[in-house]
Amino acid sequence: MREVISVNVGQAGCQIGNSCWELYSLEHGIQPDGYLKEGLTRPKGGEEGFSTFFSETGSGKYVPRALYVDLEPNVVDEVRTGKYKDLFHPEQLITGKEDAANNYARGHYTVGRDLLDDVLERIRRMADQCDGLQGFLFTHSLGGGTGSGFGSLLLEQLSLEYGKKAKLEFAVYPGPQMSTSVVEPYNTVLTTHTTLEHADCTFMVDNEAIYDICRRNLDISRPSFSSLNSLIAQVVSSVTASLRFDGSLNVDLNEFQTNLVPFPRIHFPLVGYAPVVSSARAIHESNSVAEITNACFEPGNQMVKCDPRAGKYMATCLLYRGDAVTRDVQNAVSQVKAKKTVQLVDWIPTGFKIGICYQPPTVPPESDFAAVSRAVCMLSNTTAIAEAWRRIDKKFDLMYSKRAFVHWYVGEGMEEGEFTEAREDLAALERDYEEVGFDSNDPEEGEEY
Amino acid sequence: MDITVNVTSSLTNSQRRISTNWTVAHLKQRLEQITGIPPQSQELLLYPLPTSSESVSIDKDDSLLSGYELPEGARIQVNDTRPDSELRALEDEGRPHEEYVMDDEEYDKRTDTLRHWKRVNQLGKYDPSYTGKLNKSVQLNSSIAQNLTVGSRFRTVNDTHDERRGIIRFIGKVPEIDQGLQTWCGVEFDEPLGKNDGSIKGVYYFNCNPGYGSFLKPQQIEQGDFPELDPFGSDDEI
Repeated sequence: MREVISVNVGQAGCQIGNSCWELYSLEHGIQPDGYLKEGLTRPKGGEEGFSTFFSETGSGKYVPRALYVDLEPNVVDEVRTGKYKDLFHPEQLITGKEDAANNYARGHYTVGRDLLDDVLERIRRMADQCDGLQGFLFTHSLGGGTGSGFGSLLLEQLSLEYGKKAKLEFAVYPGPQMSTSVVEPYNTVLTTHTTLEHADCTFMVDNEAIYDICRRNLDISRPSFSSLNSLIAQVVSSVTASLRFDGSLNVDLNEFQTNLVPFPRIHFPLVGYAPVVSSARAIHESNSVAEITNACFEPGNQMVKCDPRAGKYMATCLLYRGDAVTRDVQNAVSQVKAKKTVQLVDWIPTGFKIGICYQPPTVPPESDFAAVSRAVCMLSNTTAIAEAWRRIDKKFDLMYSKRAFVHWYVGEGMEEGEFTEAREDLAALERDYEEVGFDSNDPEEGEEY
Repeated sequence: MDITVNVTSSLTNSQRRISTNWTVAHLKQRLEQITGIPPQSQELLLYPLPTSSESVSIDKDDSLLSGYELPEGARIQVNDTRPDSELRALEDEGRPHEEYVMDDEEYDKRTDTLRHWKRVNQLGKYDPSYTGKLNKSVQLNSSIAQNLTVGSRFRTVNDTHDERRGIIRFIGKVPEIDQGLQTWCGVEFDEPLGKNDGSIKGVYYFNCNPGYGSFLKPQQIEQGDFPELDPFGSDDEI
């Protein structure tokens, strides 16, 4: 068996975790109490796929291989008292008493340290129950104190303890306009620096991009955080579907890195998803394979605000779910590749890899989303995502040039030098992306200045 | 009791779990970490309904939050009462400030970078055959350029846009683009489908209206008598 342990850290991480596990449970036919839905004799997804994410107890109850960690109890208390409270073992829900106060240093050095041993011990116990642990799937925010500080601390420790086991992240990146806290740029830069060498592949989602998709496609004038999280969950579910069901591509956590990451630091694929559609609109749209394939390459359907037409592609995976015939998919993909707006890096071989999982997407009851027969998730390693780093680095500079709020971090025992070191590393990351785009010697290349 | 509220300030917008048995003073302490506004300078306005503009002020530091009408999903707006708040400077991103720039020498020295990896693995421009391929491309471009003349009409080939037409305004080296490596064609399009006004980094190679000019490689240009496209004419032939 090839088990994957999910680790949800901090407020955003735990809330996304909730949406994901609700969706996984529905997709596999598991009730909120952990038992099979009436009429099923086996969970959906086949033994091999299903057991990567759920373990089975002697009494026929299924338990997510998941851990919730937050330095304060308030958010995880919602899980403890919520609809899915019986799905999890109380030991899987770990909280401290004092929060990270949106401060990376508190999550990483002071308050977080105190909780670390406890968390590592629980992870060890879960890992011991696995026959062949593949690795870890993190969800956390880059801007929050626990998500950034404790999330990176935990990733570092897992590197030490589990060596080469794959570590993938879903990370909430601060939206360009909507900051959740005033020190978000600091936290983001600090955590990215710390985790750069520990995470194998990081899928970023920016709340603002998600917000706009919900508003535009679901006709919700003010999407709630729970709508945003449901969309993120659909995306996470698409990415992990091939691990959980019988798929053809990325059936193994390591494959994401192999297929998408040519150089370890450049490990932030852009995610696109289609269709996102409300029930009211779904009946008017055919959502053919060709349409959804085209749509997932449009900037408006991407999880991070950036313009891929201005960048170059290093690698792309297209993960289809549901009713998608190989021939239709191949046609749709060759049309996309023929587009001049899709420019490929020419000094490394760039592949378009295709995966089809025949399990269609599921929507929770009372969801804003329409049930559709097929969907596609695009994962593209493109230089365009460097825009996101440039944006946050600029905000960092604006604050750091005035040393605004730096004393909050120094007060927790962090050295000021860590700010400069992290910022330099991010500058080098920006340069790495530029370096990918250089060296075009293809005479057909349509450069324009 | 714990409830979820939206906290907004001039710089932030977030959803938070708070407890109604906190005192107002404690809430303010929490809000400082989110908004950057110190408790003594906070003005708190409570909007019980997210859709309504009716608000009440939360101002008694010693009282408990349960003393206020605070339903799930309410919004708390935090205002900064300081006239010369340091936060004002952060609101305006366009404001000039020190930006960290890593110079090339420093980047070159690092050993965990993509450039270092390319060098070690002889990829891209560190590929021994790269110079040969590049020279070929430079030669090809300069030989195509010899058959082009300034002032002629042209259309684009292999264009990322639909075909574009216009007039060739300049042929030659543009050091501002690539240190004078390639031959470039400065063009003025018939429509505002270009990138500049004939200048690159402040140096003028020709003059045209902003958005009509671009610099293209000669192999993207086909010279000939291609008249201006009528944007409304193309469908009329049916």
